[in-house]
Amino acid sequence: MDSRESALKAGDSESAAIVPGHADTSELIRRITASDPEERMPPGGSPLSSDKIATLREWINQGAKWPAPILTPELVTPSSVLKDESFLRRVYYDTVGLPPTADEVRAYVNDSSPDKRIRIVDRLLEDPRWADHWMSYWQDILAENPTLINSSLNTTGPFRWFLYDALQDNKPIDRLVTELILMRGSPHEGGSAGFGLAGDNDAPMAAKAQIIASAFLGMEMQCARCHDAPFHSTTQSDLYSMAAMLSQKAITVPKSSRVPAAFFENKARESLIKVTLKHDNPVAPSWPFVSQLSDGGRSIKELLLDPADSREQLAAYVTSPYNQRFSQVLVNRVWRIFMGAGFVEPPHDWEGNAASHPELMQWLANDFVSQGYNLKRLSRWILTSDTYARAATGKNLGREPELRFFAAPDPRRLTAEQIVDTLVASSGRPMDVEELTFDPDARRASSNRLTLGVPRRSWMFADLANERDRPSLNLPRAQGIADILKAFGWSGARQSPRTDRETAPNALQPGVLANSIASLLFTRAADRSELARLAVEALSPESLVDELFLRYLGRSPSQEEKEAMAGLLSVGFKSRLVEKEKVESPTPFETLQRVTWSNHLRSEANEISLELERRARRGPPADPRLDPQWREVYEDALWTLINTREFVWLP
Amino acid sequence: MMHRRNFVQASVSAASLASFAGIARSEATPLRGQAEHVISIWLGGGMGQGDTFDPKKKGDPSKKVAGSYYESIETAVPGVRLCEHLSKLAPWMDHVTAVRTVHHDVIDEHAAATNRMHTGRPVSGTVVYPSLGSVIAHERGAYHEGAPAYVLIGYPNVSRGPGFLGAKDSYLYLTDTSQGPAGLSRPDGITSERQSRREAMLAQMRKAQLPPGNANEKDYDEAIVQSQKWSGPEFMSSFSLDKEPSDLRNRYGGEFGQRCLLARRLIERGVRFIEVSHNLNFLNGAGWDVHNEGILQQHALIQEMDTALSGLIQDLESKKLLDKTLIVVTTEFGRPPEFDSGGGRGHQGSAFTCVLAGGGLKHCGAYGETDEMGKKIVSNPVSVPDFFATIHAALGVNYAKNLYDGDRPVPITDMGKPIAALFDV
Repeated sequence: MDSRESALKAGDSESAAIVPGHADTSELIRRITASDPEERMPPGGSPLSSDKIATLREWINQGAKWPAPILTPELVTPSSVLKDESFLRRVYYDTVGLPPTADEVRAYVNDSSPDKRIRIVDRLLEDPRWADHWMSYWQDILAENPTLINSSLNTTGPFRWFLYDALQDNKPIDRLVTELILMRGSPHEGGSAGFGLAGDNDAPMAAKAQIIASAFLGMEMQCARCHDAPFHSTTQSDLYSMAAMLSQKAITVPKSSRVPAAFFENKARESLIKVTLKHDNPVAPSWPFVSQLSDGGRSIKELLLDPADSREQLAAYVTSPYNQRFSQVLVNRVWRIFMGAGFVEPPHDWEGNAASHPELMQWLANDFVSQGYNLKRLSRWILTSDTYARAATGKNLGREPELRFFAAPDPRRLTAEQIVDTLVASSGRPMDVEELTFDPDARRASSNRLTLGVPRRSWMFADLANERDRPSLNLPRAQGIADILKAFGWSGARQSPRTDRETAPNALQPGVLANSIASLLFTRAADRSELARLAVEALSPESLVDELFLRYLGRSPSQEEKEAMAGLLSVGFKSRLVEKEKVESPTPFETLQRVTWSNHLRSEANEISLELERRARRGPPADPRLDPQWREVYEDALWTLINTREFVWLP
Repeated sequence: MMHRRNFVQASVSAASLASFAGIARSEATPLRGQAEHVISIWLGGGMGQGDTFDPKKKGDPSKKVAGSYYESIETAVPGVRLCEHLSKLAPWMDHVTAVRTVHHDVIDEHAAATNRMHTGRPVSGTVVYPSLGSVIAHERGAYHEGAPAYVLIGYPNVSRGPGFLGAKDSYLYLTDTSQGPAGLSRPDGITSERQSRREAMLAQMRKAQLPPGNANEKDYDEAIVQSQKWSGPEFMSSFSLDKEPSDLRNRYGGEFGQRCLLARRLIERGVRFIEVSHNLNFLNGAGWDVHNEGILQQHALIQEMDTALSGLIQDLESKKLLDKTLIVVTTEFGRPPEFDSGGGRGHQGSAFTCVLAGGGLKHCGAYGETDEMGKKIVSNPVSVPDFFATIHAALGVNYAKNLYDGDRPVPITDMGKPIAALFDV
C-alpha cells in the first residue's frame, strides 16, 4: 500500500485500512489500538504512543489527505565542504580502511595544488590495502562463514582467499561473480567452491540462490525457501529453479523447509502465504526471471563455454550486460557505501522501491558496464564528486526516494574492522594474535580442522568457538580482539547474508574501548614500539600532543585540548628517560610446547593454556627507557584519545 | 504526521496478521508460573544420563557389558534414584525434577546440538533464532534497571546469542570469576588513581567536542553513560566473591561452584538470566564428552556438579530465593549405555535428561520414564520445544505467542507445550 487509492480499497483483510472522515471504522486505527499484542500493529514492538494515534485519528477524520512531499530548504541545501583534514580522514577510511598517518596528514594539508583531492583518490585506489578494506563487505553480503572445527550452522569454506585475490587484482566484477557462481577450486582451501558449502543446511543451493539474488539482483527471496512471499512477487518455484541451476540437476524442497501445519489451522481468513511447491515435486533448472530482468529476446548462448551447464547459464544470466539490474544493483551498493544511503533502499530488496536518482544511477551503471565492471573506476566517480566532499549531515536514509536529495552524505560510524585496525595501526605494532586454528600441526584434514593463518587485518578473523567449550582450545589474544569486533557489529558466524550490520550503539562498545584487556595493550608504550619511540624522541609535551592528535584523530588539537593534555604530560617530562645504564631489557617469555588438537586433552596442555591466558592478560612488556610513572600518564592520554566519540565516527 | 514508510509498514503487516492470528490461540489459558530469574547450567560435551540422573543396572566397561558406570542411591523422593556421586543433591530432590525423557535427533556435531539446546528448534535456512537467554531477556528485561538482563559465565558463542532479536538482547560474558565481564571490569594495573586521571582527561576532551550531530551519536554518548554505570562499583561489587563467608564459599566447591555462587550474587543484583557453563576440561581432560578414557575421571565432574548444584539450591533456599529462581541444567545430548572401544561412551539423542529445580514449580524428583537401559522413552516424552515452553511458563512468559523477525512472525517456541504436571492448575 503506497498510494491513497490502495489505502481506501479493502485489501486481503476485507476491510479498508482507511475510511476518510471516520477514524473509528478504519481498520488501521483498530489495529494500532488493539490491546492484544498478536493483533496490534506495528508488530513485535510496543504500541504507538497516544500522541501518534491521536494524530492519525485527526488526519483520517480530516479526510485522510495524502501528503504531497514538502520541500524544505534544509533538504536541498548542500552542507559545507569538508576541511582538508576531515576529507583526508574520510577518504582514507573509505579506500584502505585506515586513517592517514601523521606525516600523511601534514603533507596533505601543506599541499597547495588545486587537484590534490583527485590525486589522493587516485593514489589510494592503487594502494594494496584497498582489498583489505573491501573484504568485509563481500564477506557479509555473501555470508562467508568458515569454521575452525566441524561444519555446522551454515558454515562455508574460506572463500575469503578467492575474494581477496580478486579484489587485489581489481578483477572485473562480472568475472568475479561468474567465478563465484561456478564454485570452482578447493572448497576448504580458499577456492570459490567454498561458497557452495552450507553446513547443516538441507538445501544448500537454495541458500546460495537466495544470497546471489539479494547480493546481485536486489531480490529478497528469504520467504521463498518455505512459501511464496506474501509481499513479493517471487515464488518458491523461482528460488528452487535457481537452486536447481546451481545444483546442475532437478531438486526438491526438503521436508524441513516447511511451514508448520498449525500455521494454517484455525485461520479466520484465507492465508496470505501459500506453499505452492510440494516436497516430492522436483523443480528443473531454469532461469526464472526472463520477464523481470533480462532483455528477453537476446540469447546468452554466445557467452557460454558449455551451453549445457546450468551453472554457467545462471552466471551468464546474472552478469551479462543484458541484465541491467546487475550493474544497477552494484552501482547502488557502492554509492550507498560512500554516501550512507542508496538511490534505492534497501539495496538487497528492490521490489516496489523506486530510485531517488534513476538517471544518475543509470549513467553510472552504463559507465560501469562499458568500462569493464571496474570497481575502482566506479568508486573514483563517487569519491571525486562534489557531494562526497561535504559534511556528513544528511538524513537521506530514512527518507522516501522523492525526498532523498543527497545535499549531504549521511553520517557513518567506523566499522568494527576499521576500529580494530586503527587501534593496531596506531599502536605501531603488528596485530600479534595466535594463528587461527585448533590443529596447528595439521594432522587432520582441512575439511574439518581449518587453519586460517595469523591475521594481520580484522577481516581475517573468524568465529573462534571450539564448540566443546574447552579452555585448552582457547585463543586468548585473538579472543580479546574478537570481543571488540563483536561489540561493534562484526560477527564471525555469518549464518545468513546481510547488507547492514546492527549499528545501534550499546554499552559494550564504549565498554570494550575503555576496559578491555586488548584496549589496554593497544595503548601501551610497549618495548621498542612506535608509541614508545614517539615518547622517547618528543621535543616537548606540546609537540607530542600535536603528534598524538594527528595520529589518532587525524587533526591538530585545539588550543584548549593541547593545553590540557600537555599540562599533564609536562609533569616529569624532562626526567622521563631512564638513565642509559639503568635500562634493563625485558626478558622474553619462555617458549612453551604447542597445544594442538591431538594433545589438548592432556593435563600439560591445560597448564600451558592457562599460562598463555595469563600472558595474554599481561601483554607485551613496557618500554624500559621510559620512567614508569610518566609512562602511565602518557598511556592514559592515549586511552583518552581512543575513548572519544570522534575516534569511532567518520568526519 | 505519520511517516509514509511507517504507514506502509503498519498496513502491510496488518494484512499479514489476519493469516497468522489463529495459531497462538489453541490453548485457552496459558500456564503461568511465578519465577523471576533463571540460572541455566550448561554441561558442555553431553552429560550421560545413565551415569547421573537416570541410573540403570550397572554395566562393565572392561567386558563391554552395557549399563551404568556407578552404583545408584536413594533420594528424598521415594522411588527416584540417582548415581552415587550425586549424594549431596539426593536429599534435595524434592526441590528438583530430573526430566528424563528429553530427546532430539542432532547427535553428530556438538555445535549443532548446542544450538538446538539453546534455541530450542532445528536450524532453518533463513532465520537466525535467538537463544533462550535472549528470549527471556527480550520478554522480561533486567530485574533491576541498573543490571544487565543476561550474563554468560563461559565462552562466548553464537548459539547463546540474540539471533534476529538484535544486540540489545545479547549477553555480557566472563570466563573467570575473578575478572568480571569482558569490557566492563577495569583491567589489572589500572589503579583508581589512574582511573580518575583518565576520566578527568576524557571529561575535558568531551567538553571540547561538538554536541552529537545525529541520533546515533547521541545514543552512543548514552551508551557511554550506561557502560560506566555497569563498570561502576555498585554492579562490579557482584564479582567480589571474597565478601561471602568462607564456609559458604567452600560449600559451593571449586571454580564451577564459584561460578554458581557468582550467579546467585548477580541475581541479587538484578540480572534476569545467567548461563553458567561447566566447561572445565581440567578435571578429566574431555569435560562431559566422555569418549574413550575421558570416562575414567567422569566421577570427578559429577561430584563437582553435585557439590555446586546442591550448594546453590541450599543457599537460594536459605535466602528465600529458590522459589523465584528457576535452575535449569541442560546439555547437548545424552550418552548410550554401551561402551566404546576405549571404555567410554558415544552420543545418544533418543532419550536423555535435563534438570529443573526451584522456580516455584511442583517438583517430583523425576519426570518421564525410559526403558531398562535408558535408550528409549517409555512414558511422558518431553520434546526440546516442550522443555523450553516449560521454562517460559515458569517465568510467566506466554509460550504460545509470536516474536517478529522484521514482519515475519516466529512462534516463541517451536510449538512447545509445558509439562503441566509441574504447575498448580
